[in-house]
Amino acid sequence: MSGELWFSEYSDAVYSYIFMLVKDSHTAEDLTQETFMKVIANEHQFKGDSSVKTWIFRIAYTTTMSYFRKTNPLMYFFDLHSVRTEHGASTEDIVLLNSQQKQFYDVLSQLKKSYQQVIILRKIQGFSTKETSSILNWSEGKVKMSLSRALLAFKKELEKGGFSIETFIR
Amino acid sequence: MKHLSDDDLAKELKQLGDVFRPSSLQIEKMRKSIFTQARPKKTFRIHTLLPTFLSLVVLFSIGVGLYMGLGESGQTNVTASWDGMYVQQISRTSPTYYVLEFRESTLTVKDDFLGAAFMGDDRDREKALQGYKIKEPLLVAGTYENFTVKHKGDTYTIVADGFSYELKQKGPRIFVGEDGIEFSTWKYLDTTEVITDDFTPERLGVVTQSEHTFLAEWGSDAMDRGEHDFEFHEHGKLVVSTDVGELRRGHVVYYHMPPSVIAKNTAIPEMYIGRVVGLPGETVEIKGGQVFIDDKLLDTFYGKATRRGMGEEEYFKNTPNNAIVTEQSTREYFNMNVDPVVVKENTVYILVDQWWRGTDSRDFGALSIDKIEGIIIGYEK
Repeated sequence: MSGELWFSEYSDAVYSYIFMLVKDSHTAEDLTQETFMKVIANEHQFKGDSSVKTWIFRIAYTTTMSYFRKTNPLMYFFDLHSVRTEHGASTEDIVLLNSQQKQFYDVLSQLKKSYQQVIILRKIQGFSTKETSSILNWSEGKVKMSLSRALLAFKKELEKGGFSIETFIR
Repeated sequence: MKHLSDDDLAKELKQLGDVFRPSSLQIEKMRKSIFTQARPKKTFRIHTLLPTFLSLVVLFSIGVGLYMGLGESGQTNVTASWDGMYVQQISRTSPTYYVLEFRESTLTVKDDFLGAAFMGDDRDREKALQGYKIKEPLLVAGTYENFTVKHKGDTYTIVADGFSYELKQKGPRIFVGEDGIEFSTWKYLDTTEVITDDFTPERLGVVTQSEHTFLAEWGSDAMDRGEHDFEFHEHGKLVVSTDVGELRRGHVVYYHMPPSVIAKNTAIPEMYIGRVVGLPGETVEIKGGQVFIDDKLLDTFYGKATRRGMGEEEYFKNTPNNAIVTEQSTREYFNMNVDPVVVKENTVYILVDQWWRGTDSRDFGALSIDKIEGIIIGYEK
């Protein structure tokens, strides 16, 4: 049964992807479960025209987006989700982050949703431009463009917070 | 200040992602819930379908309730307005002559058919019944207490102990029973708006002539209201005023009969008289022997079918039976129908007073005002 294999292989990646977006471990668990249930239910629909991981991430992406739409339709509509984190529970409570990681994550959370997506998928999950484009259902050009802009914005935000090559801890 | 390099950034981001990976405990937890839930349940459990069943039952009963409720509410109870109603059979297609009397809470159904007395044994009876279209009338003579009358559209349903009977309104005073028997009443139902005429006198007096008048002779009984009204041999010549001014409803006018009518019947005099009933812009209709102007009942002596000035009931009461040619056709006259006519500008709708005797707008439509010579104001001295 490929469903269980896929789960063993990709569940942690899917979970971390969702977790970074929803910022709550329980919601992340629920959504990961939901994603894999969909994967198992629609196994026969997977035609192999992309890698399994891309296909599963596409499902994880749509599942997470519909979760946002359900829980916070207005915020979702105005792309305001990132604002919530400033008042929401600190990620430190859930994940042990060092101060540098915390700063990175906080800055990332303040970016536009589409920038967050493209940074997480391309830089953190390590997908290629083509794979990212099929997960987000964007054109490859848009992925490339968004990534460069996102990284620029990311760096700018970091430096605004007093981050520089001198303070960077390797 | 040196900027961060993309490589450093990428490395750090990669590390950030690792922090968010789940613990093995979390993975096991998820795996368990996914793969135990994913197993399809094949057992049929009634309680899972119970809400569906229940809501279907509730929906169904609501639907039935609404249907019945609406069916009921479509009928309005008009029992009170039927108090004092007197409904008489007019058709001769059944071996009955019903008279229905609604008084307070009692409904009396009488069968005044005389023929029944001549029907001896069953064989004679069968023979006698052959001439009738309706062989089994539904009403049974008797006195019924506590009747109700319900009204829906043009159907009235009479319900009393043991029977219910449907009457369909055909004209303002004509009803057809569910078995095809026709009835008439002399009370109008549901007629709210009425047009009256308090000015027009029923009879003409003697007037003096002036420079605006001329004399005319009239010999027909088309305008007879019981006293040979307007007739030359009884009252002398008519005084016609050419000072027409504005025509009013009720005016009797002296006019040139349209040539098309004379072409059909040369016996019709060229100069004719008739009463103005419909004015320009109005719609004139005759329903059940009653004139309606713009759907309002014309409640005047010239607003309904008469014979020598008598209405239907009066006529049948005062006329000996042998003088009535055929009751059926006479009843039909008193309940005649004329389709609605819109009276155009500069025309008027003319009716004689004895409709069955004269020629008027029922034959030639509205009359052009320029055909009118004058208004008849009285008899000569």
